[in-house]
Amino acid sequence: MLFVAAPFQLSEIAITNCFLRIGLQSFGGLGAVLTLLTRNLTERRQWLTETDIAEALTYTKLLPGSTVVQVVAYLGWKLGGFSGAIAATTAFLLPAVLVMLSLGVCYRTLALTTGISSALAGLTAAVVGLLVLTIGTLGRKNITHWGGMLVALITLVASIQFNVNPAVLVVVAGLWGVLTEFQKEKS
Amino acid sequence: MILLQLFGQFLLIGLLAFGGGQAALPLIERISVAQMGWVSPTAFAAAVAFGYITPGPVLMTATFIGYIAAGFPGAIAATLGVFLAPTLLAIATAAGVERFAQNRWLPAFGRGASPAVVGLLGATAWSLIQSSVTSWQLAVVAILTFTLASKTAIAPGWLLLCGAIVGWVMGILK
Repeated sequence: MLFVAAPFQLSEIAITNCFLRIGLQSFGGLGAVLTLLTRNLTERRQWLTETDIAEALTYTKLLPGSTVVQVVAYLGWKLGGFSGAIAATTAFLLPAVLVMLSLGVCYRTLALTTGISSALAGLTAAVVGLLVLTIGTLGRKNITHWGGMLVALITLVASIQFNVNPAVLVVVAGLWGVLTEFQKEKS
Repeated sequence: MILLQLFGQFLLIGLLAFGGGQAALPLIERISVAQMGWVSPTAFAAAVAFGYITPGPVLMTATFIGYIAAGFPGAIAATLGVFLAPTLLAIATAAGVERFAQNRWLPAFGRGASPAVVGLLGATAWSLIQSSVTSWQLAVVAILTFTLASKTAIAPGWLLLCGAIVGWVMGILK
């Protein structure tokens, strides 16, 4: 059988209610949200165990996309099947979407005013600092051999110098990874 | 037409973000600033900053960029696009753990793709530096933010706020 049945069948309303609350407090990245999930799902309500949360993290880390959202979707499925997962994900993201939309409205009306545009210049410089740091952390985690280093450098040059489509670059590098795995299997 | 483009491109970004939400940031910048020209480099940087400061994943930058590019419907298209595929993949994994856990080709693809994502992040940082770090004061802000974020436990949100305040003060003094 391809799929198994979800262990719980909680109502979508209960799931929405719980994850809306978690979404509202979900500041500060993956670690902070995992703590929130543990507190809300295993302590305040005994719906799941810490093993479930660890399992969700282990499997979703391998998938592309935002890990935070994927852990929520995974746990949502455990609580109420497909509709539970959709309810959990939507409720978790809703507060953030509303905040972002309000910021978008403010940005559109205020970005060109003098005070705000110089504040944005400072903000952009700070973002550059954070992104350079992220290059370091992602690089240390994902580049473990000279081949990876080479791929990173080629991608960098191809993107800056030749404006090659970034999706193409990532897919080609991914296929190269599959090929490497395939050769390992043969040998 | 732009709504379909937003949805399609962000769907692709979600599918290719190996290494979590932060891995999607360079893809978002390369596509929505460098390739499609939907938003300015400053708007992208603001989106990233707001993504760090507000609740929810950093990938909420998609909502902001969608809004700037095409208003309210654009925000919905980009948000749906960037979260749809990863959410469905997570649900499929939850419902069929054994099968997915044994699959070795997806992790292999991810291992191959993630160095390319780092390279793209380098390209993103480089183009932001060129377009936005236009004075030595701003360079100091960037270097200080980098140093404080790597050496101390201060939350990125506070550092971004400090950067904005410094920029604002500089604007007054000019």
